Amino acid sequence: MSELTLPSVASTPVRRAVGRALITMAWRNLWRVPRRTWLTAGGVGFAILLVVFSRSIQIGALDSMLEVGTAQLTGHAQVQHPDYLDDPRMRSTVAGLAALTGTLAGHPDVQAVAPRGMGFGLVSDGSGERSFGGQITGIDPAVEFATLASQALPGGRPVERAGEGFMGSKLARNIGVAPGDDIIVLGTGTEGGVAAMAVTLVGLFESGIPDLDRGFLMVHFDDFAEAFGLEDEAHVIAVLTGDPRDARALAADLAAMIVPLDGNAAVRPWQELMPILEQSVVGEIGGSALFAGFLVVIVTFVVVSTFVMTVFERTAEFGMLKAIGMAPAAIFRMVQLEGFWMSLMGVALGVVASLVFVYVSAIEGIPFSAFGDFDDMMDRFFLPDVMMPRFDSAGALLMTAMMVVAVQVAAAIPARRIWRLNPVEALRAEE
Amino acid sequence: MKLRLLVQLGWRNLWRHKRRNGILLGGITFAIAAVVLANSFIRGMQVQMADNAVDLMNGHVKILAPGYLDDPSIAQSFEVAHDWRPDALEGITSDMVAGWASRVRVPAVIMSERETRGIQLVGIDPASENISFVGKLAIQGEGLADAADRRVIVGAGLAERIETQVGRRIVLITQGADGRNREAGYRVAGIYRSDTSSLEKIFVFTGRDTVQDLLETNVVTELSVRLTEERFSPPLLQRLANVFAGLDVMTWQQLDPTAAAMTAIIDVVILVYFFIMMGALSFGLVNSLVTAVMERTREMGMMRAIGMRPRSVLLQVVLESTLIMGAGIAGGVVIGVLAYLPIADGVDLAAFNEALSTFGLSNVLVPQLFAQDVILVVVLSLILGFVASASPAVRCMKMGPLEAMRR
Repeated sequence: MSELTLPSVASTPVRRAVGRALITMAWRNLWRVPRRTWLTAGGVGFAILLVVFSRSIQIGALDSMLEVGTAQLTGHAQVQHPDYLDDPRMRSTVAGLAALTGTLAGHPDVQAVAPRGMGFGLVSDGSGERSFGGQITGIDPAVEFATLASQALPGGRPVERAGEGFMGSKLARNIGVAPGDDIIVLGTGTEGGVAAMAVTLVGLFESGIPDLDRGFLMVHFDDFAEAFGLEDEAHVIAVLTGDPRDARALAADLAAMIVPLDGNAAVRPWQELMPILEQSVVGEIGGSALFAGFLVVIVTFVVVSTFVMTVFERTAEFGMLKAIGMAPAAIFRMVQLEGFWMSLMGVALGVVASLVFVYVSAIEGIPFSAFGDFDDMMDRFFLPDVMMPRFDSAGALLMTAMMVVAVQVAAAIPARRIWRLNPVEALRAEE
Repeated sequence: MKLRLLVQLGWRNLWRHKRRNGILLGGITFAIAAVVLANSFIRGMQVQMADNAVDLMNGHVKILAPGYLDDPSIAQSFEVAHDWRPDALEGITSDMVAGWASRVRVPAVIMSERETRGIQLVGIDPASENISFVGKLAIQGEGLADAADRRVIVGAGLAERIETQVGRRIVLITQGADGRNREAGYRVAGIYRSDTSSLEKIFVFTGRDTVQDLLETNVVTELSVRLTEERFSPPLLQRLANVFAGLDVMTWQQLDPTAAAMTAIIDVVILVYFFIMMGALSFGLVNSLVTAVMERTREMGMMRAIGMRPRSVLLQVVLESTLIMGAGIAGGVVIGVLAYLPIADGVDLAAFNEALSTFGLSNVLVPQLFAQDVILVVVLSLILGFVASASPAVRCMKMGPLEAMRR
């Protein structure tokens, strides 16, 4: 068949005019069967809405998980002895504490620097009769930022000066002590000798995390250093920055600053300190990617079936267009443009709907209790009472790109037949 | 009009648009297969979470002294006769019971020559621990021989921390019912490894009689019963509450509310997954069905004119939708099951190890395909097929024959 094509020598203005005409024609073609267009664009929008909205909830929850989880105790990064993370021993300390804290505080992104001494000890009541094992942490109240160190149950207060102790409510109950009582701590010092200290309990905390409530005692850093034999050294120096998501970069930055000073220090971002938090973030994102993938494939099927209908119904029309000299490539382009308009509508529907959903649900937040009784888990995973969805712009962009590509592929599958179409036979096809 | 004829007509109508319906069929098949496969993963997680919670020395039902959960000490304890058995209870037969175990579990401090740590000391009868994770531990060295064994088993994580080894001695300090501390030296018989790394640092095991000797008592702090099936739990609870009046008789769901909440929410997650996938699909389904009806308006009008009842027209549209849905469901279930078979033994998820273990999951996730879930998907999809065909069918029925033929 000798094809009638648009003159290939056509000047640029002509080509441009044809291009514009195709765009307009594609748009008008969509409205020949409005119901179908709405349904298909609706399918695309539905997929975008589901993925973007669920990811927005997830991101909101992860944000506050990170915020609450890191602020409670760990901080956004910690300077430690290189061995301390895998094997936290009394003797694995970072030395040159005073100089180090000064250097760290000099970094513009560092908001707080808190040195801590950490060790294990046997905590007893004043008479030494009832004892429980616990994590002993020496903190400097003047610089400590851990929320755990500042929230006392009524009737008590956190550690403010040397000679004071602050412990988990269950530990206190197990030992049988209350604020005002004296407690004795026995442990093993840096040199392997017996470390002993006596402090007055001034307050109790309740974090909801069983391990902390049942076995965590905070004392003043000076008391800790004296009892366990620390000299200008600490087990960890916790650092707080503006955004926990920047912790890796900050850790690398700080490491570059301090490692040359003292080779025996490593900077650990929270991702290394709290791998569970990190992995649950990665795991959830992986799960939602799988979910999004399934949806995109299903919607692609929907769009393909729409375009199969569109293309086959218009056999006669395409035959006519071919007969009057339109190049198959131009017809194909028109169908692809129809797909493009369609996907734009779907994207607009989906993104606008997601924005509305996110905005409306962020006014009050979505309470976790709506999903069941999760008190225990909320504490363990630092979940807040309500989730504040945050619009997932990266996800929206990615979904938009995926849907636009998927619709183009879906439109191209049936549109291939335009080349094979014989104008005479096509025109004979039943309208 | 006979149903058989309508089915035949519907079937042939579907074949008039092979390509369009083929693609729709592909979409349905994929969606169903995806839902079936996703379900098996989600169910697998649920079963594993529940199993692990039961395994974690809870059993399906556990008896505790009141107040033990708040203050887990030997003061909150009770006596159990040595020959006590749950299947001796009225209405409880031995094939309902997988096993039972009594234990003495108290907080203690473990000291090696180098380090000191807080732990949970659990006195067990190794012969009855096949009902919990304790019986499944991989042990380097030796396990405990019997309830009177005077050696201890420690976790690998703890052994590393306190720098001890098989054959070395450690000291255990714990509090008696009188509030005085008791301490004694024990030899390490073996070091265990567990899927869940945090367990290794918490639990130290020795013989039940040994702990009782140390504490100068003959009481236990807990008694767990594991059933062969969860559904035997309510009758057992009832009997135990009578026999152990004054003690707390608790289910694993009460003992581990997080795991219980997680397993409960999974039933909802499965439905949500289904409705999302099929919701996306229904846009295409409605689209195709409406088109199929619209382009056949004249034909339908003609059928009406030669005497086909409006009801039959409606039935035919519904039948067409059901036929294609049925074919898609059949294909989807087959593909879903085929995709499930190679992974039925488990999928290694080591990359998420620690987060999973916090949720009570181990590295290997074993997907579970339940007939009831497949049936649920099939039934719900068929209903969806009906619903999707409703609007085009009604539209078609409303149109008078003359009007339709004129179009």
